Amino acid sequence: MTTKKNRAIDDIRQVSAVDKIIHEPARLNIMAHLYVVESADFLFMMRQTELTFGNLSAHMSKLETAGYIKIIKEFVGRKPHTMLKITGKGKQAFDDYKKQMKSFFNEI
Amino acid sequence: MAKKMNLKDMEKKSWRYSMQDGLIEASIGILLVVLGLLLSIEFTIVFIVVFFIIFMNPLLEIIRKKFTYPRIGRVKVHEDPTKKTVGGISLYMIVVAAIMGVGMFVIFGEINAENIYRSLPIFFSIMILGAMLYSYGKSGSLRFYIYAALAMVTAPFFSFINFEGRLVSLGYYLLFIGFIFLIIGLIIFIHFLRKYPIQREEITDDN
Repeated sequence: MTTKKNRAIDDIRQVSAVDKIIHEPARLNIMAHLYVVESADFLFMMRQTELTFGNLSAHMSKLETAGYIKIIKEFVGRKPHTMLKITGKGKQAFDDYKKQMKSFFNEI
Repeated sequence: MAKKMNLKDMEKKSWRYSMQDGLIEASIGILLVVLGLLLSIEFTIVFIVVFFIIFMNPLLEIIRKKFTYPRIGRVKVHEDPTKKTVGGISLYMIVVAAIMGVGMFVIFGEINAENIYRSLPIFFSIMILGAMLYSYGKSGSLRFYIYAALAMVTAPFFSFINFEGRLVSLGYYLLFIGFIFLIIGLIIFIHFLRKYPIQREEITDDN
């Protein structure tokens, strides 16, 4: 009985330990796209994630604040251009998230 | 997020997405045409080939900045290290040349210059096959299989037809296959321009 209870508590702990910054679907989508490429610009991310400009901006800011992505602002000609790149910390966080989710679902 | 998330597929999709403008096909086509001209018609244009090889990437980048990036955005995919790529290509060339050498010896009983020159279109088609299989592995795009099949099927005709001059058969083959690449590339590029009109200003970073 105690073992069952302990296991249930462990499961709850595991779920609550999931990185909530990445766990949000839109941010998970952004992170996954940046994980598989070296860098991408804003337009590419908009098309791939199907997020609106405002939505993408908001999620990007959260990911940048967490240190998971790097936002590089530059000028191409006279137009501002934003490149996005996943950081080492972001890659690690994404790998950890994948592992956590895999082990969690394996145990269900 | 109901869609299944497969990172390998996402990587291939990004690769496909960034190459959908047809400019790679067009530039390979131009390179093969120029090489073909060099071998079959005019040896003195060797400087054009060298010029094109050196400036191909910067030229491609200028065209993409003007036409591709404003339409679909820009993505830099992971590339294999140059050392690994060059090593892989060299090994592939040596293995193919060795197998062809053995094949030639078995069929003709000897390896002579005439047979080597005749087999060059086939050798080049196998090189194209390698490049296309590599591109398919990266992108998952079936069109690379079609290019490979086309290159492989047409090469024997150029090997078996008697042309004046030793490298002329290879030259004509490169001209033929280069024109096909160029035409396909231009068709894809025109289709791309129509499919993706330039995004409105408010979608750029200005806001």
